[in-house]
Amino acid sequence: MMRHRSSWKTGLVVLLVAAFCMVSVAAVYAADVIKVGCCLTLTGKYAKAGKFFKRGYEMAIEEVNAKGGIHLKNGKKMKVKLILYDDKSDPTTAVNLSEHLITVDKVNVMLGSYSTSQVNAQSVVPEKYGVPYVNGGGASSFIYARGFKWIFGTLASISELSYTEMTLLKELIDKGKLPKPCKLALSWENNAHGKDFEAGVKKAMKEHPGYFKLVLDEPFQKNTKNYAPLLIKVKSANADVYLSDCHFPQFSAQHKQYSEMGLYHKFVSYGARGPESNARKSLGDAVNYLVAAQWWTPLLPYPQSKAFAKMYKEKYKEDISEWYPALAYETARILFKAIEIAGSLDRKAIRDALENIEFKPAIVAGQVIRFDKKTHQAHYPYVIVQNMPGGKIVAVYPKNAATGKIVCPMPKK
Amino acid sequence: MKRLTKTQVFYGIIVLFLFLLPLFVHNQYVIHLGIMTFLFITIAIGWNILGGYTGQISFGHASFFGIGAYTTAILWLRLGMPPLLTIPLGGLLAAAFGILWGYPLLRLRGYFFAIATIGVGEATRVLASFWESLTGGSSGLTLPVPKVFSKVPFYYEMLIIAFLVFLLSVWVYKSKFGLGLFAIKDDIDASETLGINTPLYKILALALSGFIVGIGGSFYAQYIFYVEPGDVFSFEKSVNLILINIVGGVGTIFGPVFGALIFLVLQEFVLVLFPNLHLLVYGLLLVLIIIYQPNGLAGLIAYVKRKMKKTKHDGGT
Amino acid sequence: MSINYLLVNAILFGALYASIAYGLSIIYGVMKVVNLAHGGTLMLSAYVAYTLFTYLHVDPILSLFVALPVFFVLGMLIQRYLVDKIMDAPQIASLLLLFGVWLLMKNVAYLIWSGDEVGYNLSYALKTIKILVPVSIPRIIIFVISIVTTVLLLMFLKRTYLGKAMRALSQNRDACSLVGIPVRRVAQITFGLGTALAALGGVLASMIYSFSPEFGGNFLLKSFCIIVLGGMESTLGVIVGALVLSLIESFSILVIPIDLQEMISFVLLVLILVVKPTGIFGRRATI
Repeated sequence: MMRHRSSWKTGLVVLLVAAFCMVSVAAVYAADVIKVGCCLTLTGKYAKAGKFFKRGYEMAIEEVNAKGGIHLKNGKKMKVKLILYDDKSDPTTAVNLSEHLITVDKVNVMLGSYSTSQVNAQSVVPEKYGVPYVNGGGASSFIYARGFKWIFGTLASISELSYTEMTLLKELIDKGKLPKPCKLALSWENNAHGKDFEAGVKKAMKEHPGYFKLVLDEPFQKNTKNYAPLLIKVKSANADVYLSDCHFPQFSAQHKQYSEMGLYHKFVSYGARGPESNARKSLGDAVNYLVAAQWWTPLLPYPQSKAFAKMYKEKYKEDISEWYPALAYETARILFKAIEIAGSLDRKAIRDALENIEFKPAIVAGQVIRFDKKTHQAHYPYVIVQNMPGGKIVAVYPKNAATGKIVCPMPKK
Repeated sequence: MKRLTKTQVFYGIIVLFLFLLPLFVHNQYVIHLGIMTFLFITIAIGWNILGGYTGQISFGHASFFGIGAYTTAILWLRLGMPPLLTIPLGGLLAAAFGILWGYPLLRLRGYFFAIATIGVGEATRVLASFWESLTGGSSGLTLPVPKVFSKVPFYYEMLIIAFLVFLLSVWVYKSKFGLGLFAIKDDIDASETLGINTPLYKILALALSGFIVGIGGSFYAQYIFYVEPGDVFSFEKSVNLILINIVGGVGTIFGPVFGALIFLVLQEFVLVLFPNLHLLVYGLLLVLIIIYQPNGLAGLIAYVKRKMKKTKHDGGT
Repeated sequence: MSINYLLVNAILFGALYASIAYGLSIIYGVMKVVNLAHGGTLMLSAYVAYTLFTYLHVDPILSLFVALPVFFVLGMLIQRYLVDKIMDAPQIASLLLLFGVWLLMKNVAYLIWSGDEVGYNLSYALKTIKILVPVSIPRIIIFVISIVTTVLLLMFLKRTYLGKAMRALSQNRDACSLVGIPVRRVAQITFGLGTALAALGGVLASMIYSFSPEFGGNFLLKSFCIIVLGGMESTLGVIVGALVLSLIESFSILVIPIDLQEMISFVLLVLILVVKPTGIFGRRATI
């Protein structure tokens, strides 16, 4: 191998000049629009969710701009401009892009990315610079337990999700559809998301003594491909109910092996996963009767929710069964509302407006979104849905949103 | 002698320029890019000492980076240690970890070492996300975000670290120790017969390499305020180090510097526009460089210079 | 915990692991090149099976007849235009080169199929047959094909001229060119065969796993662990290595937490390399 000892002036100069020239090209915008910064998981493992979020954000922005923009106190109406980058579903990239958005693009406010790990990592940056940041993609209460001042989340927490599912299970036990005590097998991604899920289950178990018996409580690696070891444990635990906290890729991988290994439970839920159109495509009839808790579903009976689903269909020419675009839409609308209340682009004022906002009519269950004063996480009821044979999805809980009756125990194949 | 002085003046100007930069550039993003460049240069130099000088290609250097980052995060968060003080500790712990697995694994040759390091890197990542009580599991740890934040101190911190590490790498390159490392790379059997204590040399190179990357990781944690096993221990981090060195020139002094600059320009300016193509670009670079220019950009520049000057080729081969 | 279940599971997985590892093993055996593009091939072939099934309703078993020739040619091209150019460079160069090829393959997959986790849904995926414990039809198919592949591969290497030439090449490259074996040609065919075998493994794995462009990385390391266990160069060694790994993985769930499972193959790989680099047979067997 050669050991070069020549001088390197040429190369070094060329590179330095190149690097710093490109920096100075950074665009300068005129100050007559409100710049909303955002990066999303447009590629990588959460690409699908990222695309849905993009659509939701765009719908909200088109809507506000069609009205001429956001009305500010000085009488001016300002349009909104979205500055969007792709974070490749990688937390570090999300951090870097957030730096870029705040320091180069000089955005006024920020919208969040998708998934707990992205939001968890990214939110450090707006907190550091004091930029109002609202997200509809990070649900773990862990994100909001860090005492951050500038971070707001519109997803109700994962512990509430599992708690809601447990409440439904308790009702089913009371009706005699599940045995009492009901043997429960639980598995979760070993991260904040999963721990939050476990916490909700445990809370419900404590509140309803004698109802449940936890026969398996097992964390798993979120990047694993091979679920056989976990599922063998699940199988030999002989539970009545299987609850597993997953994101979509993990759900898809796990449930494929679940059904292929011939497992059966009277009630199966993968947290928020199951009704996605992609799930039926890759898993077929194996998704029948899966139960999922949702932040939003087109089945909700409110007019504003129906209107959103219709608007979505008109714009993108496809039906919507996923919650992602709806929450993205709400997230952006809440942020715009807060700017309007603040009446200026003063970041502190926007933050205070967000803290006190009472957003209604919201399209989510309960029709109101407000943030907890301390944690800044939203709190509203979940809707539980069940997949039916033939691709139909039915809302089964709570009663005021139900469009059908739950099938439990699940029929054996 | 005169030529040498000229070169020194030239380098002096560059270093001075870099030191004065924050005084007349107030764009935070430029400062950020500067910090990231210095960081990449530092850790790439770390990799180069083992991979380039000694010829032991490692796919597991993210483990050092991660250990450095977590050392800082844990000491800062749990024991309230001032973050700056944790930097050498992060480096030392990473070096110790390197010795721990290097001792058995460095006996392996060529491929086997490289593949085994994939195993080490991945096993460390899995362990870090499993050991929740210490590391916070795969949700990672968030560090105390300051009320007022300025990048400039970080800029100087990283610049000084990068500068010192660079000098260290030059010193190693020119020292007897470095000669030994290059001898091992060329022909391990021959260097043994020459009386070089190859196991000792290799493990020292690994420890030094781990130390430098660990320092980088430690700095990274306090700059980003967030550490997560899926990020700091990721296979991608290890791969980036390899890419930077291969693009810049494996086993050369300036290779990691060029490589890091190109890598950053690619990442921040080209791939932001075409995020779908980043693996394609890296893959193509890797394939083309290995086939046509195994010495990377450093080798290319040397080649062009020799062609242009049409003088006798310099240095030894 | 049902021991039967663990045992049947281990044997079924062992067969799948073996068929995934053959490709890596044969290329290493003959050419002393570690094919890091192996993971990429597994992933791409899974997508080929997925695409043929989803859009043309071709059963994955039938799609093998498309996938194997295509990947055979791909492998030959990689050898001819890439690997062959650096055969004289240090060993490590080919490792990095093929790693680059893997990155390219991943990007191709991202561009064509996006990063979504996908899978396909076979009509017989949920049917089971009882062999000690209920076993699904796809697993039985995978097992049978693995056994058939093993037999065919052994016969090919023992009986045919080409197979003998490969074995000769694995022992002494220089001597081969002296006695008139077309070394380059045989190397190309070997790389083609190894890539086709990887594709076989990928198609089989796609029947029971869902996958994304990142698929294959874990299996690459597992394959490497298997061929190291089996002494690097023998077909029989691969079978034994695969069984050992799958038995350890399967039974380890009795003692090791699920979220440390993934470490098993890494740790085993490192341990074997350090303690017994010649594999569990203790000496280098030949193919």
